[in-house]
Amino acid sequence: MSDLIQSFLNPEIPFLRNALIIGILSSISFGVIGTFVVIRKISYIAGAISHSVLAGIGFALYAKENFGWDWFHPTLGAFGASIISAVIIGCVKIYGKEREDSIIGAIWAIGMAVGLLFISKTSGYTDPMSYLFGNILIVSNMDLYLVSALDLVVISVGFLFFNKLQASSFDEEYTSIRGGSPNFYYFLILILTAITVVLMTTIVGIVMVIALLTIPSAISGLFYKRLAPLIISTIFLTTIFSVSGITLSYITDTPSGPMIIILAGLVYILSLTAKKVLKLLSA
Amino acid sequence: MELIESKYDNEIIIEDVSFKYNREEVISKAHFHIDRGSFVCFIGPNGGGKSTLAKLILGLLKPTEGYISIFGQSPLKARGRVGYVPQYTNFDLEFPINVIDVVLMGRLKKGSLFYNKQDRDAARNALKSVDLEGFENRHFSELSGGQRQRVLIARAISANPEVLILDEPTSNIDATTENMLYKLLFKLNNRMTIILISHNLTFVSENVKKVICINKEVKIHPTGDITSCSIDKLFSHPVKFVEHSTKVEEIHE
Repeated sequence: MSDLIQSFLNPEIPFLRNALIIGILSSISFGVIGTFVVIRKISYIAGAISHSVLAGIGFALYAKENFGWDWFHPTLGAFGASIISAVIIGCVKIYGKEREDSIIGAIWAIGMAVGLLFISKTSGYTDPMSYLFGNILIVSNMDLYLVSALDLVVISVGFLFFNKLQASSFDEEYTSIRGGSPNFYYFLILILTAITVVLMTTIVGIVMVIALLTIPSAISGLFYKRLAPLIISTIFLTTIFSVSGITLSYITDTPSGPMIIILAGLVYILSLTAKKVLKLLSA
Repeated sequence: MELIESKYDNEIIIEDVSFKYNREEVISKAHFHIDRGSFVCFIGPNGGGKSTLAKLILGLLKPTEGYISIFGQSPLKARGRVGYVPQYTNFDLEFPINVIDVVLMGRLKKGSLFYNKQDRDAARNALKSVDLEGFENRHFSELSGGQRQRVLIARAISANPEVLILDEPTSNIDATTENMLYKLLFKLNNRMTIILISHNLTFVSENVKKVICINKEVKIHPTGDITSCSIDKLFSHPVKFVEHSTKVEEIHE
């Protein structure tokens, strides 16, 4: 155990400390936005946004090598791609006549395809696996700064617009009668989802980030029926899953993403069972 | 001149209003007035355009032709003055929200992000006037259909509207609850104009001053004027018709 604490404090391995800080910081955004994603039933949209992030990461890696854009950090690329996908999906829902469903599927796959092509044309060490399934070894100081800044944006916007987001998620029509624009709040949720997804891509990976966004909220939903306690419990669970997942992955030398998701999944199954048993006992 | 103006300020005016959705005419040349303080019923078959007309008055839709004025203001400007109670069955019961948060939605304002004490007091008072005091922290889904309906009425009246529009408030509600609901609406009618949308013809009471029949075209009947002939025409096939002249209170007994 003391070895473990020493490793966290060891300046030679900053990535571990960075990963843990990122995990804890992003848990707040995950708790707030994950809950909205679950209650609005848009986890498939969050899935499309998170997968399309690979296009941005791939382009950033490619641009760094081929155009000498050293400032273009993969997390910035991820951020750009996720915002673009969120805007496209939002516009399709509001203005488009196409089937929203098909567009979401297309963005999901095209994003990944573009990313993989860019990565394949980038020499040097770029293993797509790291981005797909999470790897704490790629967490840099720059990631820490970017994630902190984005996290702050999500938390402050989430706090300021809490009442309006809650209202428009519950009843869009009534929100517009009261002078609010449901489309604006829908866009806001998509943009915040896009940013949130980016926060944890390096740790959990593109493929599984959606699970960390939805499972903790689904667990909390079994026990809480009000939005505020539900969000607080989700933040708490996400923190526990990410910190213990990162620690376990470091100890066992396994990828961090699967570790975190397996933990979350196990607790979900246990909670479902516990709730069933409690119901049977009380009946 | 003054007289005309004050009359204008005391009426909801629907003038030659047509509404087309995807080129199909849903409302055709609707033309009627509703006096301030009256209790009117929009009746007609499903898909006949009742809800569309309500949405036009609420400013959620724009008429393709014609003109709507609510006490002298356009529907968009009058939004704060019109309360709306949607069908309670439209809601996702999994949604984690409690009663007071639903009612507080009625106090949403453009440009302000948080609810203040005044908003909370108004919400509590609204709950009190629908006899749901003490239900503040109950979860919305735990309530019965009639209670949920009353929560939505509380939400609408928390902003002190001058007009209250209710969309099919009695669907899926048992007779006792229905009577309670009408008693509440008649009480509210002392403070505000009430427009009740229904495809259910059993409800025509003395308190209802005007029945507006909507099936693309709009026909107006003062209560008591409805004959089975006009109803058949409205639904374009013969329907069973029960005439009511009893007061709601009497039905309840």
